[in-house]
Amino acid sequence: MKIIEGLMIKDFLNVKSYLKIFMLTLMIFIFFNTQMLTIFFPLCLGMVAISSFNYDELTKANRFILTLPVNKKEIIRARYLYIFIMTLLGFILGFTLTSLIQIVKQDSTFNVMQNLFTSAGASIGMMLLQSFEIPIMYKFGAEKGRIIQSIGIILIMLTISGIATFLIKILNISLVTFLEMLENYIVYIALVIIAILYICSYMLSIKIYKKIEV
Amino acid sequence: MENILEIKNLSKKYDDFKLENINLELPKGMIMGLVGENGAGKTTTIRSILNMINVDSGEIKIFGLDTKKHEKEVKEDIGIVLDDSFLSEYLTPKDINKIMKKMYKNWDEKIYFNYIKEFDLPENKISKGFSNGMKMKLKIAVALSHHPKFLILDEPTAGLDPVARNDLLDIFQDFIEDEEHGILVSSHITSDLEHIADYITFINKGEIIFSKDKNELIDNYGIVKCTEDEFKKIDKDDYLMMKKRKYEYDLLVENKSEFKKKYDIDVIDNANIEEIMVMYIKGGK
Amino acid sequence: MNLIISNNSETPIYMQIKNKMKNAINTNELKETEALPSVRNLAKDLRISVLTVKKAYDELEQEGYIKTVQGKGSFVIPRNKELVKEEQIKTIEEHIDKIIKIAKITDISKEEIIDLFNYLYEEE
Repeated sequence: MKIIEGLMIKDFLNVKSYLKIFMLTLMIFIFFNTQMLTIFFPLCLGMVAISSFNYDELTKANRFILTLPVNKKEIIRARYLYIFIMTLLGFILGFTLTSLIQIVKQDSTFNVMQNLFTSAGASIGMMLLQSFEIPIMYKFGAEKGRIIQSIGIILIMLTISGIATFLIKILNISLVTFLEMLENYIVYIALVIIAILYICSYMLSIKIYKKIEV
Repeated sequence: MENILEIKNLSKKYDDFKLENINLELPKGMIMGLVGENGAGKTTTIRSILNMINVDSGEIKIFGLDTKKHEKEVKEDIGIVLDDSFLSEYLTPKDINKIMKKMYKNWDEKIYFNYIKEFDLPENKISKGFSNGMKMKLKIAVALSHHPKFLILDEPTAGLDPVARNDLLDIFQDFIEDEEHGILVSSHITSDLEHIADYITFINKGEIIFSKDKNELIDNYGIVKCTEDEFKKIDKDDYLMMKKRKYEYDLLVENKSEFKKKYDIDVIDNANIEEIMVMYIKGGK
Repeated sequence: MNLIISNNSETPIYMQIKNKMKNAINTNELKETEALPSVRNLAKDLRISVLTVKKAYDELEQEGYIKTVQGKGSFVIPRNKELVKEEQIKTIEEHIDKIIKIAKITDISKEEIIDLFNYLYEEE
């Protein structure tokens, strides 16, 4: 566990100074649309977390890391945990900070449930993306991974809309009723899907990384 | 003498390069220099030793332990400097301490910060702006701060100025004062190894040409310089490599004094490691 | 004890060490039963490899100058004076052999050499 901690500390310290500037920049939104922060925090922190792949690639850190008393499984576990925690942090900050700012600003649009919902939505979206992104990064490297990942996103979108259209057709209902139907369960459905995807993604990454020679 | 490192029949095939049947033994308390051209297979050998690549065949033992079965145990006790890879350039020496503390059971911050001080490295600056020499010193500080017993260094002297190289050789010799320790160091700058290495292993095109006690090389190997007529009288078995030059034939011989006894040739020079290497790479029979 | 090693000499480094040590023992600079510097220390101080020093010490041991005790180090063996003398005479013989060879080639007479010897011997 200590080693996993060490690897996560490495990823975090890498972006520490960058993160500070990032957060301060986000604070500009205090003066504009504060609501946007609920989405921006999870998005930005999730993206920063993924950038750990770029940092590693820059100095071929994985080679050095493999000389330490650590195995490939632990490296993957640390990476997933780091990305998950960062995204979770994005969710928490997005929700709490935005709400706090709105309370201080006495914003009339302030709505706890809405903040919670948008922040959670953005985080879940981010995690959905990550579960595809991470194995791709391991397989193709951070540079190539980015390009492949963009293609992947489009494919995912198409698949999802495809499935949705299919379901709508089968159930013979309108899009609006379909979405309304989902609304009550969407959080649970999303959480289950994310959990399954994350676990599959993790196992796939281990499989890929074991074969790869860094 | 017990071996600190043992490699048996190591092979690894790539599309355009193969490491073939590598056998090595390094006794405890000794320094081995791994020499060869760039791309000869030094780094691949080191990466195989460290289990970083999946080798096709072969057995590797460090401290008498199979490195595949006892990977973590072995890696706790080795210090490593890689030519082209390190943690990150966005970390300060202080950050690195925080990370390494978690990585090695025996990490010793006192030793680490002593090295940082000794090497004149700024504790709170990220290493991106460091010179090549400073970056190398940082890697060395990291490699030495968990009480390792075995050092493996890939091209540690590349990019260092003569003074820094000299300092590094001092560090090696301090380290090897403990008879239980050992060093495997690869370099294409052979003069660094000429003095302090006990064994020289020469690798060329993925094969080990020789792995020998350095004294045997330096004291016995020689370069015979002769005319064409003289050359024609020399038995092919009596020299290792030949290189035809404009005014002379150069022959690499394994034992200059024996050669002297057998043939009446005036010029037999001592051969240093670099000359031996060049004869093997450029010469023929 | 001074121990100067040349990296550019024709003589191998282990041989230089061996010769210097022998000299030091013969001239009593290294006294009987005195410990020699440890192999690893000497290697470090001279900036040479451990095996080089080991080779020098091994040969010194073989020739009966020192004795190495595992884990304790190497020590100068008490010398048999007769043996030392015998060895020195051997060396002198070898040198005289060379002198004779040169003399024969260049046609220098025995008397001339003896004269030269006497002259130089007085000078010393």
